[in-house]
Amino acid sequence: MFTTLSLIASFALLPQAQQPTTILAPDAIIAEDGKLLEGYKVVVANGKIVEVSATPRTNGVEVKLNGILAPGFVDAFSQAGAERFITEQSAKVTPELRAADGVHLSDDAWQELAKHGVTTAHLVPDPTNVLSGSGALIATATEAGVAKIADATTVQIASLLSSSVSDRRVGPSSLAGALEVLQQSIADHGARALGHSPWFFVEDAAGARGVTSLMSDLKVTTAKFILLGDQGDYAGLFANQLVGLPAFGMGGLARRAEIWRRMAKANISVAFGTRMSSSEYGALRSSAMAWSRITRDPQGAFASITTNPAAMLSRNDIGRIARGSRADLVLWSAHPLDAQARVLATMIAGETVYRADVSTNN
Amino acid sequence: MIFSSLLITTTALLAQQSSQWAVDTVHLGDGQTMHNVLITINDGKITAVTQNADADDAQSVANAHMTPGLIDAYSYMGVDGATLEESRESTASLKLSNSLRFDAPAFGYASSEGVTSAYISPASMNVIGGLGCMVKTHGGQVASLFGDAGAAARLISDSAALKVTLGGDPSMGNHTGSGKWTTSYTARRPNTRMGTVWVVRREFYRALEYVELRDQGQVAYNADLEVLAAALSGDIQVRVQAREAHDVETALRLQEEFGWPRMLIEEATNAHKIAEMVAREHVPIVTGPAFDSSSRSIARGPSAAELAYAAEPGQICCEDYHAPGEEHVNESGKLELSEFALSLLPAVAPRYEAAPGLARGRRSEGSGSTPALPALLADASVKFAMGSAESHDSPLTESSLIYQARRAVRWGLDKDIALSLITSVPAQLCGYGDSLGQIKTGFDADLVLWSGDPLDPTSLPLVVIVDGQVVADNR
Repeated sequence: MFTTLSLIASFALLPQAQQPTTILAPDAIIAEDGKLLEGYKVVVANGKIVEVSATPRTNGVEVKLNGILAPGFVDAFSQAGAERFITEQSAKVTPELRAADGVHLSDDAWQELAKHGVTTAHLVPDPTNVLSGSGALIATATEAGVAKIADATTVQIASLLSSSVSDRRVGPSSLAGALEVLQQSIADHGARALGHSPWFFVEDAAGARGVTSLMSDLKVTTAKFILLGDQGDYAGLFANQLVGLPAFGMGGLARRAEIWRRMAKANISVAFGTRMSSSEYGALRSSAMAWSRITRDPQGAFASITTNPAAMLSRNDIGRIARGSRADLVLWSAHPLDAQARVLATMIAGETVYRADVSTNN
Repeated sequence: MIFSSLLITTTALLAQQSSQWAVDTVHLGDGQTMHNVLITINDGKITAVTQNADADDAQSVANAHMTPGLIDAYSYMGVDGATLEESRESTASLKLSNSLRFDAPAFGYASSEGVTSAYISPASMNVIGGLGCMVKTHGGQVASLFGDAGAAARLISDSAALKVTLGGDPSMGNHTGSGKWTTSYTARRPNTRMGTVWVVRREFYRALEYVELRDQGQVAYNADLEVLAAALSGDIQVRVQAREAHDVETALRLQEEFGWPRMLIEEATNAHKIAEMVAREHVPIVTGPAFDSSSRSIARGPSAAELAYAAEPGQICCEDYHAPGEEHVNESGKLELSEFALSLLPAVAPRYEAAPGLARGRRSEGSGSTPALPALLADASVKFAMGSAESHDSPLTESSLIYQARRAVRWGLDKDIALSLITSVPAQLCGYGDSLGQIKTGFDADLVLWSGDPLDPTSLPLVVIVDGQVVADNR
């Protein structure tokens, strides 16, 4: 315990501007495949991981840590800490809307997420318009106690949900009409309307097929899908792909377990997001734990809240302990997929943003 | 991405398929019949049709008949509210295949009744409804994680024809709106039969003007008008839904006006009244479902929704006015709907719930209909095929395509002609005359083995084969 405190003390005492090179020496780190690697050290400088090695060549202050060092979790699609509605209903398509403009950076939710090991949240506009606007990548905490916008425009959020296509007066009144609106937006705004990698919220086979064939016509190969509704009815279309999935909730447990099992069998990788599901701060982790239990694939489970959401966002600087990544690190008392594990400390971009109060063992 | 993986899967499955069938009686689809025939299938195609040949490992059922897979030339399988964009009356470039339910149960019902390919029409609610598609009823990628492999329709053309609807369907329920309702959904236009034709004219004259300006490079690309231009040039077939005889005549007038090189008339319920005129104009027809009674609902039996209403009467009268559980009484203190009325409901209620707008006016526009329509058209030398419309939405087999043909035979149509009207002729009319609808070397191995003469009411489909794969086996 003493060494944990010394890490925190050493971070807290350092002036922000001139962080020296720190060599973190935990009991073990969690590799990209979710497995524990003992004897590895993580070298952090200027907010980034500069070396991961058993015998680092970089010089610096070595800090011994009692615990398991894991990459911070990434929430693939989140609604925490923002305006109640991140949407603009006055138009059918709002590709110019930015979730970053609706964020409340000092909201308590961000700090809570950091305490629960979530270091990055992808805030998305409500998928209520066919094109809803772009998401924002938020670093959940800083030493100053507020969240920070890491990327103000991530991906374009598009929606083929029935709620967004039920306007029989001005349209669209149907999936067919929504697809047409989408096509028209692209004709009007060019590929700009979709951004480099659009995300589509879908909830049935028809919507998923429609978008896929439209993207195929447009030769867009980077589209990503968030599967809402009953995935059992249509996730078969996504074999061998990476998709977004709402985090674990308490409804329909038995069917959900069977759906997840079949998704894993179809080699579908998932990235969990908490929007549309649980507002629990621990939802990401409990989703991964449930995925691990249900599919017996702890590796895929760990990826679902680290590397997979990062891959959905085409980023390799978050979600992993690797050279060049942002130093978003969380010290756990045990493997984070272990039910008893708790967060001891959270570091975001090299700054210690949270430390557990050891005196209350909390 | 989905479609590329779909192609790979299909190819992989086809590669394994090789089989031989020894059959007593083979109806080739073109009106010819052969006996004691060996049919060889390789990689999803028919590779040999040999008479009096021996093969030790050929599959065989005594006294069985084989036909090509049936082709439903006019169907609404998988069409529902999601495919129907109601905010405009002309949606020419809208592709039905983009929002079709390829996993709809109808495709399974149809394939188990011998239908292996189908033209799927956009709904009739819009004047110009968009582009219909051509599918195989089996072999598509299955969306459900709980479904059987291949048990979904497979798209083979996403722009098979352009749907135009005449008659009452596009205006049914519309009105011009008044007072505070002028901006409401109910102010949808057109609101008359004349208005419907006016919209057709307006759109096609816009297209003519567009083509002229486009060729001079003076106008921006317009997806809807491009499709109409393709219809004007004959690159795409125009399918006009018309039931009443005067609607069929209107279609002929419109064709004369715009010179659509490839027009086909759908349903043509009362075309027997002007059969000679249709034959003279050489316009092909796909007849809609023909029943002994003009009431489809009786022919098809009560729908699931009607049965649900009968089981839970409260839904009918009370949902708008009373909280659940609250007793519903009128001023005299009596229940408003009698048990007797409820018991009658399944028999009398029209069933439009399957897909809003699809069959809207069939009952009112089918007053002069006759189950002898196919026989009468054949007598007048009209070129036509048969379609089932919504009939395969129901698991009740009395309305399936083969029953349509049997009914036509009962009402005077020649048997060989009847079979060709659900095989080779629809294949030609849909543009697949060289690959579907016949048992012939080089054609797709879509086949149905029947327990007896397929037009005999006692015969059952024993084996259904799509692209060389057995998709239903009741031996």
